[in-house]
Amino acid sequence: MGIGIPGTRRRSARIIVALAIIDFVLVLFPPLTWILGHGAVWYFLLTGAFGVLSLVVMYRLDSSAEEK
Amino acid sequence: MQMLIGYGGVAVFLAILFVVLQRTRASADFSEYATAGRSFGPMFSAMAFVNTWLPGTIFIAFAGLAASAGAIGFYFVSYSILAVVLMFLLAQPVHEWGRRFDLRTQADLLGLRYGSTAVRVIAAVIGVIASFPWIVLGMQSLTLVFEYLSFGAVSASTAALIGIAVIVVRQWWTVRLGARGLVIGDFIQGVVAYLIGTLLILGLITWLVTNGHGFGEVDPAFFTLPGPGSADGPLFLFALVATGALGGWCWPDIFVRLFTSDSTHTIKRAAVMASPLLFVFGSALCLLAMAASTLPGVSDAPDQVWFITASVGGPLILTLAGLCVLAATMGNVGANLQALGAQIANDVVGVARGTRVEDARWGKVSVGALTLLAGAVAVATTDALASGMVALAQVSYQGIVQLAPTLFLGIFWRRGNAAAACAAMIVGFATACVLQLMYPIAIPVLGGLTSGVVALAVNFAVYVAVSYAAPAAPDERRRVAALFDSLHERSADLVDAKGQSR
Repeated sequence: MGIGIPGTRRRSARIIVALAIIDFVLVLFPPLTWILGHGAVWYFLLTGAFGVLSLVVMYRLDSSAEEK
Repeated sequence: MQMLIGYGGVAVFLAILFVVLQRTRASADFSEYATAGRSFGPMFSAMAFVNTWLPGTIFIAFAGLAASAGAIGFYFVSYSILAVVLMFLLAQPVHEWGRRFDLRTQADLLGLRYGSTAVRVIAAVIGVIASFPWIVLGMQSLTLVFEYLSFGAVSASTAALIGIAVIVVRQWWTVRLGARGLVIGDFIQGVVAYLIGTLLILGLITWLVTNGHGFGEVDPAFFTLPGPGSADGPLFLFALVATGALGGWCWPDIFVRLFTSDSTHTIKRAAVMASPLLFVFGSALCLLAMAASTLPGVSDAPDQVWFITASVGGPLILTLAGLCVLAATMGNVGANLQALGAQIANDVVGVARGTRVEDARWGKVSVGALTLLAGAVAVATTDALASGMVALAQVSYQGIVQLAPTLFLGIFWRRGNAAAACAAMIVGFATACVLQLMYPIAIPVLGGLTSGVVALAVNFAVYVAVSYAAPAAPDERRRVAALFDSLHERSADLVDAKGQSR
């Protein structure tokens, strides 16, 4: 741990936290489900796909920060 | 002949599983028994997480919700993805602290973080009490499997007893091998339940769509979510997803999976591997249930949608469908028994005796006793609804979520202390139990919020208020600061070859 360049690691960590927050807001912000609730299946499929992709990005960022 | 295919399929699957488990080596000490020596890579870690996360009833009650109410059934997919995001964030502190301090259970970690035996014991007791009804229900959930696979030859009550017997016998290897046997078993069970299961689901969807049961035939109300003015309340969906996402990591069996991986990087990679599996499998199952809602018999018994739909494929397909439920159930029940048994031995018996448990026999005795007790209760309450077991399980679900503030704020916030954790857990658990008994589904005046979410808000407020009002002593603050700071130092500088803190 802690073997990457501190600035790079900090930036990656911030982006990872930001992506996690977006994941939670997309699913847990009630007005969004009220507005998009009429296309409920698409809402779940799109937010789920975004969650999966965001995890891939989080993993890539984390790995590259470790390598640097 | 049909019953031979059904029960024969189960026998072949169990035989393959038991042969593999029989060749797995037993644990040398308690730590290895509880954590599998922190030795598994990403593939095993991912499948162990998924097989623990999704219970067998995902094919029954969760699919049943989608078949009877439509898209809201997808809520478990949403909270599963959020739980994986949390898994990614939890990976470093949980794995690093676990390895450095030889932590074996969730309660063990909380005891370390808060420097408090009281926090450790309260968390362990809440975990055991809340999980026990779910083990019993898990054992009983195989009733439909053995009823359907007998093709009418076995009654529901006999099928319930067969299911309980199978799951209890399966635990012989859980008792003997501990976490290592579970993770290896999870891999095989996971391949059957979620990979073969997904292929089966896709095949069945194709059949439904091409045989007059497409999504165009489904009730249009199935495609909308509760909002302002709806019967469930505008905040009902939020409450369901929040409870699932935050509560997931409060279950001891889920949390302990983080201790079986060989590195922080492995846990993160496992999260990335688990998320598409959860997403594709979960979404496909919900779509299948919605499309199958127009099949004859499904509206009368939505919980049986998986079996009714698979029946169109004949005995072989129905047997495969039954094996998916069996494999998923075995993973979840076994993980629960192993985690709770280890927690009782490590955090209740060990604390009561004033010693660190090192002998694997304590774990084996504890898991074995718990298995027999759960099996006996399952037999005595085969009619789960009438016996009140379902109501008890619902109360316990809202109760265990109350570990969330203590767990997450403890791991991500330095200021929280033992007094705050104890007060928050006790107040939260009591509030959730009382509200759940008063409002079993949701609280109408609060927009459909569930008892667990309201109690969580109280719990969170108590935790933060006590943390500021009664801060920890300077020595304790320094200890906690060192614990957090250690996460940013090179692990090689802090740990010797035996994993002892230097």
